Amino acid sequence: MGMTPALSVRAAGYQIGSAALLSDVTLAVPAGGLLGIIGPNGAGKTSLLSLLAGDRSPSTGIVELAGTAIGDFRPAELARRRAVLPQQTLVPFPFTARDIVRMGRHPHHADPANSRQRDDAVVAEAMAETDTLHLSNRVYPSLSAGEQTRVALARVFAQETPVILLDEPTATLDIHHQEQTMRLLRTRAAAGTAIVAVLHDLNLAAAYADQLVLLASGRVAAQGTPREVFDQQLLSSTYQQSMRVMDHPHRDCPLVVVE
Amino acid sequence: MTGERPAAQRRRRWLWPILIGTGLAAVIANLGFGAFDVGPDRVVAILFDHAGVDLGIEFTPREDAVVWSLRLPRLVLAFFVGAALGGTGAALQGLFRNPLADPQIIGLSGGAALGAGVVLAIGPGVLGRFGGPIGGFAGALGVALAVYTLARYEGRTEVVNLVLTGVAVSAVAGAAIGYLSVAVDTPRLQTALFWFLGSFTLSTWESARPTLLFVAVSLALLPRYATRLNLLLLGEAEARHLGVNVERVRTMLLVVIALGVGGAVAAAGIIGFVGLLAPHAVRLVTGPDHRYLLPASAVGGGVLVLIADLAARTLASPVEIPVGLLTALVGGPFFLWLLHRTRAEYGAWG
Repeated sequence: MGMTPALSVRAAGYQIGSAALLSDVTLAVPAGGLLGIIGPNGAGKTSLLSLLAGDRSPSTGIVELAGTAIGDFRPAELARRRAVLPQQTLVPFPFTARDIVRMGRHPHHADPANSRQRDDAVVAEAMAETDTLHLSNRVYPSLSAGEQTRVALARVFAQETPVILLDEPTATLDIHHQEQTMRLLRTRAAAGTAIVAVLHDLNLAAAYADQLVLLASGRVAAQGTPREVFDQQLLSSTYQQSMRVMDHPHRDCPLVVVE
Repeated sequence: MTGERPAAQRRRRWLWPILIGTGLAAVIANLGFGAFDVGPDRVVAILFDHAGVDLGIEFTPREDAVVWSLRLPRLVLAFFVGAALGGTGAALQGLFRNPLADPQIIGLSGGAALGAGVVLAIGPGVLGRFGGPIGGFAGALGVALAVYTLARYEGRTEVVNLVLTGVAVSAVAGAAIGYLSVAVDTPRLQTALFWFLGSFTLSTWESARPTLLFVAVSLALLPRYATRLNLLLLGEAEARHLGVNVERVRTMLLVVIALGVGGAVAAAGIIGFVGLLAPHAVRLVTGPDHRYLLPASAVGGGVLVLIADLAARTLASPVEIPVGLLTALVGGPFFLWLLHRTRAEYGAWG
């Protein structure tokens, strides 16, 4: 039935010692989908992302990339299929921003169809998209946190993978670049990329994700469209913070405000 | 049109002319100066004479013997030892993602000295002349693995852990070698203190050959890891996401580095800070890209040790200063400055 999802998780659990960081997580992201993972601190969002990335193996259940168990891919093959934006990339040596973005091309260097011209074109396009072209010759460690995030995002785009995973891509960004980044992710998704993003800002998640997974204490508390997941009582109890859900005045999505 | 980095590229053009120019001057000075001086024109004439070219400049058989048989082997060894330290220093800084890594500071040289010392103490047996470098390699590799395991936390290497591990290892190695030199009746080990301080005094062509082999293999293999070292600077997880088999690359690099350090230390003892000074000087010109950094740091390290050895032989002539003392005199303050700057820039991590 239907197409194989670009990325799927079935009944996955993840334990360290006796601590269950994740239990019984099931989700699927089709090509063109943008899935947001939300939940309070310590809910297991980053652990879930590392399972999706193949950094860690689930203790139970399975993670599949285009229908194949993610653990079956060799590192080089995996790098052509999924890219990951970490919360922060610290680089202790003075590479320029363009050097960093160009590193995203590494997985393609084994491909005879790839060329230096193509690398240059993809790098320039990714930097233009992320509004970082003017930073090209700047030294990466000297950039502000927000600029570093956008350069790191350009590196992820330059990797040209069908799946992109992002850990809080908007955390360090000002409001303009938050909106710009989320719009970019939507555009990427519309072009057929499957995207999973851990998001702290519930309203960004509601406005831009087509599916949401709400994690609480390592379990899926709710999943579905933003309207389905944004239940006033569920959000309030999950975050232990009284919240009110209303309709966004201009966008076709819910809006959360703290009571 | 993406445009190329103008600044870094323009600087990079000067790199090899500077290195080769300084290197040639250091070669001629090293071969010429000493207890018995030979003019630079005669040094060049002797070298060309052995290549079968007569430049028409007169030189005596004694000058020929001093330059060709006495000083040249020592010069070749000094260059290779410096190249090993410079190249492996650059690789260690990349692997540990830490600008303060250096074969001596993190204890690899101490481990190598102990390994080579133990082999000399119990006798190399079937290993023969390769005993020293093999012992040095084993000692350096053991320390490298230990430091890598002990000093890292979540893919980062804390400066304090790295340096303290090196201090502890070096102290143990120094004490053990001191003990060996007292307890075991081996001529080489009786001069162990001198050797431990780093010196080419005791080196001969015969003892140098295995070292040259170890260092040559190490330096030939290092550049293969240049691109992956660049990616590792993003972080281990990030490198893995870009397709680097991090565990395998790390293991291979530690082996290749231990080969170079083990070979160098077996021949010349502990010459510190070259692995720190050379890559940092080179990085100012090339930037951090290991494709340029690794070969240039190796050549830079070689030239640096040539200059240091020239000073060691001539400053207090006829007494010879251990070359390791000289590199420490220059390198120690540089390390302190670097430590200060790194902590200011990156906090406790660096």
